[in-house]
Amino acid sequence: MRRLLALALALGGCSSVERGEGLFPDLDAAAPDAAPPANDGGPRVDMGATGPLEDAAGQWLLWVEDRKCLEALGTSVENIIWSTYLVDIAEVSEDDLQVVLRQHVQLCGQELSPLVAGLRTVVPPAIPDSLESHYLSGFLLGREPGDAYFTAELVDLWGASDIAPTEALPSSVDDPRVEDTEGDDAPGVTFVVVNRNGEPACDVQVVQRTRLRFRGTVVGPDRIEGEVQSAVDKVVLAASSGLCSSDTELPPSEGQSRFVLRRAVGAAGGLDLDLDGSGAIDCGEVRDAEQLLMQAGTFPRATPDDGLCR
Amino acid sequence: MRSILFAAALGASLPVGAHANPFDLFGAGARAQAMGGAVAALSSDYMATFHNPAGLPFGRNEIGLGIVGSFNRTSILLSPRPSGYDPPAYGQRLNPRVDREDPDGVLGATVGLTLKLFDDDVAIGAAFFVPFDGFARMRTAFPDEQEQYFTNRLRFELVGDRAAGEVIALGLGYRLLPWFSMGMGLMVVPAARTINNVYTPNSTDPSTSLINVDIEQSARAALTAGLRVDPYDWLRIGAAFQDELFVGLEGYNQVQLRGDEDAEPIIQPLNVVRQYSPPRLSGSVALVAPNGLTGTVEGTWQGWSNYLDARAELAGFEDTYDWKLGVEYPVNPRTYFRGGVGWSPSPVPPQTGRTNYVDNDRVVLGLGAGRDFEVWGEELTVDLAIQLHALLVEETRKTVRADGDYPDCAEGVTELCDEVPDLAEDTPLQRAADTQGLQTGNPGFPGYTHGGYIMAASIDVKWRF
Repeated sequence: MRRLLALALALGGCSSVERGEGLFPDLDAAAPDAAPPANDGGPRVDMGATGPLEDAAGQWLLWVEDRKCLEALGTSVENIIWSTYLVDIAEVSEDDLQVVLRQHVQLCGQELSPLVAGLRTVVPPAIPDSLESHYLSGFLLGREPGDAYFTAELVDLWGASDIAPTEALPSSVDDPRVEDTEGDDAPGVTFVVVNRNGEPACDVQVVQRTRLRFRGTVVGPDRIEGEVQSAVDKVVLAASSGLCSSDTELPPSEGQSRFVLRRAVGAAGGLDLDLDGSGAIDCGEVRDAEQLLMQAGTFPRATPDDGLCR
Repeated sequence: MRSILFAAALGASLPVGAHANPFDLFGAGARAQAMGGAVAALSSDYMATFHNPAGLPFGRNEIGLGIVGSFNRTSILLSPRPSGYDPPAYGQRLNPRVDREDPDGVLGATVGLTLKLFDDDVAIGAAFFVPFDGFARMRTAFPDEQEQYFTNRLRFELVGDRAAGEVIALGLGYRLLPWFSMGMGLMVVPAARTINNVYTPNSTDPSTSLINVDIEQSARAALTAGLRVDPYDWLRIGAAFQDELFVGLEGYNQVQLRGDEDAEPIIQPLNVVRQYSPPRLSGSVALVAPNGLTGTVEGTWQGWSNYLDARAELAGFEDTYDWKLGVEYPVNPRTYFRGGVGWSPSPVPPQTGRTNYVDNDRVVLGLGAGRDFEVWGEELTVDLAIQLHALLVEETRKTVRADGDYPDCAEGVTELCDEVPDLAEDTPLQRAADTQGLQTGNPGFPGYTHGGYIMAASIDVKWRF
């Protein structure tokens, strides 16, 4: 009967195609344009206060944007490395010239910008979780906004040990200095190269050394920012595909590498990433708050510009 | 990366192929179109090469030229996507998921001839259709969630492109007795084989790929055969068979990557099928009154269960029986009015699972006229026809599983499938919570409504000598 009715409607030119409804329910309760939820004890961010840095002691978040040129398979692209460190700062001494800081630095995460065609190197969280923390000397030449801040050299060695900062990296998996840092039964550290959809394309085992020096100025009681001088050495030990065994040279690009140091527990305003209310934060809390920090524009990221590398 | 290279290579390697042909959809010739395609017991001009080659000896020597065109007012309207089912990076697809409305029609020319050989009882015929908008063209699409990376749209599987491909019909008819003839012939469509050698000097920039193309064009043919029995002046019986036929593109891309020389070249096989016409068997009976009024009925079995989709995979269609009724009335010795109606059920089962083969039951209406003129002592015939295909509106809804447990997308899975397998625990790349439940970018999810109409018109001019 329905067919006869449809036929009659069709013959009469009365039947039209109208959009239907699927049977699947919406799973997201909030409308796409809903207002962000009110702060209910979760991480809090604001643009930071102004004024002198009276006391630097406490936990800070160090965000580093390191711009490199990657020579891979015949082309040069800018590859930006975004690293997030948790820094425990203690003021060791103070005189008329400077404030000496003792900074306990722990890498919480690292992201790399996509290359052409959406390929992107992923640093699995297992790597920063397995790295040892470092002590880094820092110096403040005053507490007022505009006063200088600088540090000694931070040397971060991945996938090997007992190598001096200027010594050549081991290139063989048989070198006794090479170690399985993250315990994945592969020498060195393992990076995964993923495609645009986040699906693994290949993986690579490397030994990598990053040397960083920070020079900046005091911006406020909870903020220091400035430039980064960096040098990254990398040796590929093994790769699942030729696509992953890119050259080891990572010269700086013409874009400016920079850092922002933000107080992470809100004693003087600014960020408050103490999600569990323990009075201290750890890398887990930093990673949980990462999305919010991105959305809030706390650490605005630069866009890779391949032209700076050519 | 490899899929990117595949696309680059394929894009450079597809100048060959075809849509389908309009004879299958509308019938061959204005007379057949006007009568709803019910002419297997009547056709005796060069279009008998398609409808029933046994009819060729019943005609005269002739050459003809025709124009056939159609406009398409069909729509596929997608149901709104519910929230919470997006796979990763769904918003970054090359094309957004959109409806398909009013796709292109077709315009092309038919050319044909019939020649009597040796005596009046042996005739050969040939009919061609050539579209005006490009020769040997092929479009492929995935019927499932994989199409989200390409057009991200749905399309009519059987009535969209089917009217736009070139075709050649050849036939030979032999009248053994004054009331009995038999015939056979070939339906010919293009085919091609391609081997593309691709070298990519920069794997991070596929636009720099170097491509050598090796294409070999050929043809694919299907056997046609028929019988024609005219036991009385008032009775004509016809039976016709056509084997399956499709346009094929075979071959492969061989891809080498700089920096990956130690590995074997990547082989990307190509096996593409379009313009699939199923095997069909038609039986037709026509009654002719003393005043020339002719009525005919025709039934056609079509073996759609053999249907191969664009990826040369069996689509799971069902065989169908089409029915057609036609009438021809001579209002005077030189002028004819014609009409016809047909019913063509869809061979496509309900698309509640993974695939989105879109097709509708169709009602076919035809109307037309013909007139014979005398020009320079010879007979010239002009036939006109219009034909309406009403696609009965249908709504497709993907099935909701009560247990919420959708299978992972893999080869052989026919149900609506999960593109992101559920993880039991976090991995370095994914959080387990982000993978739970159904994630699909299937353009047909959660459903769609489809229907509309196609209007075709044609004119044939035949000179008989």
